[in-house]
Amino acid sequence: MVNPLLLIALPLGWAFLYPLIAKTGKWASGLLSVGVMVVMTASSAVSLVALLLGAAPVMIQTGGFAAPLTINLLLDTESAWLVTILGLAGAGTLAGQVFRTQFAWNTKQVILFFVLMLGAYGLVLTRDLFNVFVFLEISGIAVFGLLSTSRDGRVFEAGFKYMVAGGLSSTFFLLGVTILYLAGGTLNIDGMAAEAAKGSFQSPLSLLGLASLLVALLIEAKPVLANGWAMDAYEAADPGIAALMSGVAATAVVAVLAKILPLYNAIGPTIAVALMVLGLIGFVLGNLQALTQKSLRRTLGYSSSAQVGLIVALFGLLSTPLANVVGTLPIIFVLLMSHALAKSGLFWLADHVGDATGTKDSPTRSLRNRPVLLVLAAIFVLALIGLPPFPAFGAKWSLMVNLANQGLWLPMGLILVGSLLEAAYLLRWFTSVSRKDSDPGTVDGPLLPEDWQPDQSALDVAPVSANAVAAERESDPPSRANLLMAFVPALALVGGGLFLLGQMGVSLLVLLPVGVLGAIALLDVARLPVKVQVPVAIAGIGALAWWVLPGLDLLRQIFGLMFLAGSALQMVALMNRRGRQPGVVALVATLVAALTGLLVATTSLEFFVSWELMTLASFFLVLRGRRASAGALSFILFSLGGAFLILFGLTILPGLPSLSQAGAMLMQTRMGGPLGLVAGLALGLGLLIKAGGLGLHVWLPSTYAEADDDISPLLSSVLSKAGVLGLFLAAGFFAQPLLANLGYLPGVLGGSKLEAATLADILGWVGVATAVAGALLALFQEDIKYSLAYSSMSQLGYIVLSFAMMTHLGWVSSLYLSVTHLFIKGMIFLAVAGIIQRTGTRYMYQMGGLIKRMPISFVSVLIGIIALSGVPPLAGFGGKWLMYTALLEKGWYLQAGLAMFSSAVAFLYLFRLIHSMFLGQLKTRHREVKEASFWTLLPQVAFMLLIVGFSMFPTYLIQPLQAAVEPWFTSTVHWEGYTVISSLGYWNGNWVMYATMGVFLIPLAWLMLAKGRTYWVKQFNIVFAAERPYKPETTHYAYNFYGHYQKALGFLAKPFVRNFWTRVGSVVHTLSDGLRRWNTGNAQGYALQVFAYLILVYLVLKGGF
Amino acid sequence: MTDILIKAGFLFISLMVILNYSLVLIGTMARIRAKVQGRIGQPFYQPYIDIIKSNAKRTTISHGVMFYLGPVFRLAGGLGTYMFIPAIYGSVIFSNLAFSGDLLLVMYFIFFGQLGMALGAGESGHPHSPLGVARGLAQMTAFELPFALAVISIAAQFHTLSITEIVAQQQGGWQHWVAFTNPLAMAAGMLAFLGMSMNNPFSVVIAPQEIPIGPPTEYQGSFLGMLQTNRAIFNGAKMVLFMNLFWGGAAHEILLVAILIMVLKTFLIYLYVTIVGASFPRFRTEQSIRFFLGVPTLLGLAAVILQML
Repeated sequence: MVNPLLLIALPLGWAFLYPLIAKTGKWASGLLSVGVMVVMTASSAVSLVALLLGAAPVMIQTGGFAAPLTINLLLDTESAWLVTILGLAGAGTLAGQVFRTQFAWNTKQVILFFVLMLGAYGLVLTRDLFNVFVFLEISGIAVFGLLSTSRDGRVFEAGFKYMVAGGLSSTFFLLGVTILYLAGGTLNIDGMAAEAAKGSFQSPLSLLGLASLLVALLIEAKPVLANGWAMDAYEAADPGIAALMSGVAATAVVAVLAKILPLYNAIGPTIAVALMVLGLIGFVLGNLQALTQKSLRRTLGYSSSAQVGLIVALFGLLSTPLANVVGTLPIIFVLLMSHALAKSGLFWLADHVGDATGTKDSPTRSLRNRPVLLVLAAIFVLALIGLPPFPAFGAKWSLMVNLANQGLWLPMGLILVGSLLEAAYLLRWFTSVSRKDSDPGTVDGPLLPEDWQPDQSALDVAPVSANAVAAERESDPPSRANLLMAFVPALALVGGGLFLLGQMGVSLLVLLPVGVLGAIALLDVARLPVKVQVPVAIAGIGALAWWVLPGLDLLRQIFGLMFLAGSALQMVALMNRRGRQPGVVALVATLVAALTGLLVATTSLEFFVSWELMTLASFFLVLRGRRASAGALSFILFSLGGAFLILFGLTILPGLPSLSQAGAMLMQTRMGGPLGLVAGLALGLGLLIKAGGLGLHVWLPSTYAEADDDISPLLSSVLSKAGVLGLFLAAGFFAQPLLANLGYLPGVLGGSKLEAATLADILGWVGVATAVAGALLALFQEDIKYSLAYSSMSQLGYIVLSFAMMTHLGWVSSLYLSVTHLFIKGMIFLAVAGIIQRTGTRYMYQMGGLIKRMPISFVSVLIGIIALSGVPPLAGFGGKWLMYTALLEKGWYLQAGLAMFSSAVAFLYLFRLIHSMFLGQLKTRHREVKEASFWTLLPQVAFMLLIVGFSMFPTYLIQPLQAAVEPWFTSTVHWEGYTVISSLGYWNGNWVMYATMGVFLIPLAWLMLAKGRTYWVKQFNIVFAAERPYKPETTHYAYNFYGHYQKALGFLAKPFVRNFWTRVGSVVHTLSDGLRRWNTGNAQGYALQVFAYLILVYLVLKGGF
Repeated sequence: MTDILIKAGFLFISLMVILNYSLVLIGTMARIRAKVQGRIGQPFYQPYIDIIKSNAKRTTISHGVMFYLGPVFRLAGGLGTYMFIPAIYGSVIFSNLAFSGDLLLVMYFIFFGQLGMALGAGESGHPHSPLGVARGLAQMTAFELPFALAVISIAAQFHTLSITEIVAQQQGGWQHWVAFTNPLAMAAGMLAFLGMSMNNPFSVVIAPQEIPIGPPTEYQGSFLGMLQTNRAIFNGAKMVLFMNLFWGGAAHEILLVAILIMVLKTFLIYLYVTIVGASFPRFRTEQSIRFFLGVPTLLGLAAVILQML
């Protein structure tokens, strides 16, 4: 255990000694100073561990007398947490600043830093209220001193505002202390708490005292509505100093707040509500304000404000009478710690990357060529948002569970909304710094080139820098030592998060993705090429499958095979990549491991962790695309929104059952009550986002289309099934009759169909609407990848529709469609990847006549479109037969009609696809195009064999699927040999195949006999209107292929949904902009805000006027 | 083995009957159309002459493998579609391969030939071919909706998707025919049939009179011969399908009478198409799409909703 006095004395002494030590030179003095911080942090950490293991707290009485006569210092578990956090943040910042190559901290700054640390430690440790004031002043002056050393000229004005606000805060603090001393007769906090318990602070005057004390501390913590002064300082200060303001000063103030909360027992329950209201308003509005900032540091400042708001809200939960919330304090500490580390890291990055936020008028420079910085940025951003595996995630999860247990849904919702806003601006910045130079950052839909130029960048020609302007903002790159040191907090965050999740009961298998990422990233560090990594990863996936699959139930095994085998097969195409491509294989393998996690998850937490890890891995994969940043951003924001909905749905259930448990239970009882319906609604929406349901699909096209060409197959064919898996696991939620669960008695409506209506009925309509809309949208695309993306959306619509039927045949067809969609889309997307690689274009009308140049790709696409359109004899027909039979058995006639319409529309885009690429005229510049590479073709051939095999013998596919569904529904079809017989009809895939072969071969034989002499001519050897056409480019009928259809039904394909979400986005931005204007930059205005805040807090505490 | 040979023999007979009947029918209808327009017209056996002439050409020109296979796909589609439909109820010879699958199989197998043909035509490189295909497919999606609704309504009415079963349920007199028990479905289906037959007013797909467009543009010789053969068989198959679905099928103890019933019913069905075609001018593609998604779809919807009530 460390003596708390040392924590104050050591920085003080070092500050005095430092002018001498500085003479030893930059490196020695820097190392020594960092050493001091490390020693202090380590001793704090050791004390924390000792206290956690049961050691007694240390109380130091100064001056030889006991409190309240003198000041006493207390090192208990809470303060040990806080000093450890302060030490980590302080040490990290110091290390970052003294070892910079340019603008390293000078003697004065190091001294001020230690003074600040002294003040912060004092604030945490002291138990005397007046002493708190002293330490507040010390740290305040230190910060001000540091501010004045910043390089930016604006800092003087900002510093002045800082002084004004700080002075007001001090005045309030002293006022509060005076009043409370008058009422209680002591300045010792414990003594005052005892007085509060006795009822000494009940008078209106004492209330004013308490209010002004609270306001003084809140002001120091820079609360939303009265934080403008601090934001100017954040923006102008050097990032190192801003990091200290955020990581050290704010944390210390929070510590004081925690300390004095017992005084507020005098007010009663109002204080809890007041803190919650103030805190949550701060959290949401702070993040909202941050959204439209043009300065990264200012954004981070707002983010700090918001985080403090969250902590204050948590204090509200902690204080009486809600004090029985178990585990709130650890939540607070973990949040504080991860905030301090991540925020310091981001400020440090801001120093080296530039101050832009990635909005339209504040473009960032790209970090693509600095992968190490990019990795750090990813870690800090994700840790700050609170995504797994980082510590803040564990804290937020526990928080949500706690709030849900108490039925505090509104706070839950607000915290989730605030977190989403936070994710929005942090990830916008991240996608912006990680985009490629060729990426304008605005591509969220197909772009049509104006002329016939081939798409240069697709051929990996040296990209033109779009960031020339942003590059001017570039500051000095970090030194190597500095970079290495930045990994300390980053790894601490990762390790701490993993440890925390392990403590919370998450199994190693669920955390495996993180290990996989690390392991394969090591191969990248070892500079091994992709061609070496891919076999390793595939072998690993094989081993994982061997290990995990046998222990699962049949339904999970089927999904497991889709996830693992489907991915492994498609990873073969990655062998096509040349040289080193850091991250690709690692991320794909991580994605697969996370998908496996979904299957083995036994608790809600495990499911959610896997879900988030999967989302993150795919986000980073998408982000690698040539111009994918905008698409990736919308992907991750929608995914996070969906994930938060899922989290909400999972946590509000009493007893926190796992998704599959709850699903299975509700499938039996079908009665979850209103709570079950709300959960079902949240889960349904969340899962539909992943499955790209109509209305929630806007992320889908640009994500699938703009990802790398060999990644798109994986996203479309494998990843999309994760949402389907979720639907199957959560099935029970959707099977609950709506009216019965809302309390209507059966029979009130005369037993009509309305009474039996469930969420699944709505899901079914959404599914079929998605199928139609996806098909119509796919129809009008010129860009092949967008067309395929919309086609995937349409197919997922069928899968959702079939699932929603909640019948045996419905589920079998849903699984059948999932499996065949995996084969078909994987195959077509891979074929398209090969074609894009060879032709250098994604626009179908720029291709044409490739059949002779790329025959295997042609066969692959041919089989794909025949199967996808459902034409017999290939496997696609099985899916159609099962689905329509199920729909008609269920009595969903209208849905069946729409599904048939949609499948007819599918013919249109499928024919267009194959015609525009392979048939028609070969373009002049494609005359020498080669067949796609071996590695791209290999998985396609495998898929082809699978499709043809299952077409011949559908029994081998359908029967396992039937068996998987048996636990839920009894079978309604039976088999006679190869004929499957339903209550409505029958189908013999085997005979259809033979018959088709027969009717095909006989005419073929006839033709070969009767054709006479055949002259083989080229495509261009044609005549029309008695003239030779001008050139192939103008003869290929491909552009605007369905113009007439557009005339008739184009209005259906207008971007209603996109417009809606754009509108939502612009409303949020307008709100944010309005709020932003609240902070005018005017010092008098800020002073007025501080006063107004005092009145506001006083009124809130008083409970009205 | 003997079973399979016998089945093959039956299939051959069945195909020959439908081929020859359809060829005669097409010739006859062309002649009727000519009379309406005040021309003398071709002899009723003209389709035979066409096919023989095409197949007798000593040379053919091919643009590639897919082009070569296009007519094969097309004919396979026609043959297959016919083979999956039981032509005459209760007849072993004319039950074809109906045990392979139900109505859904037939509905989707119709596309097999069309798709293959479209692909073959695409490889010709002639821009008029895909132009016709694009029009045809666009029109197809539109008439497919009322047709699908009609089929769904019938399936809901009889609780079966088996064509044999649907015909069986209509036995026992004209009053049991779908046309009278479910007139809305019949109306929707028969309107959709107009589009399916690609006669006026929905003939912009092939625009037969002035500029040749559509799949056959570049085909000649025995390729064209196969297409002409298919036109007969495919037409026959579709008419038999509609006869089975809406008009009670063809059934009698005496096979010859049953065949005559089939001939009569399909003749009338085709006559209806010809009369409509001779009476109305041609729609543009988007006009026909709007047409099919209008009244016929509403009729189909009404038919389905009536079954749901």
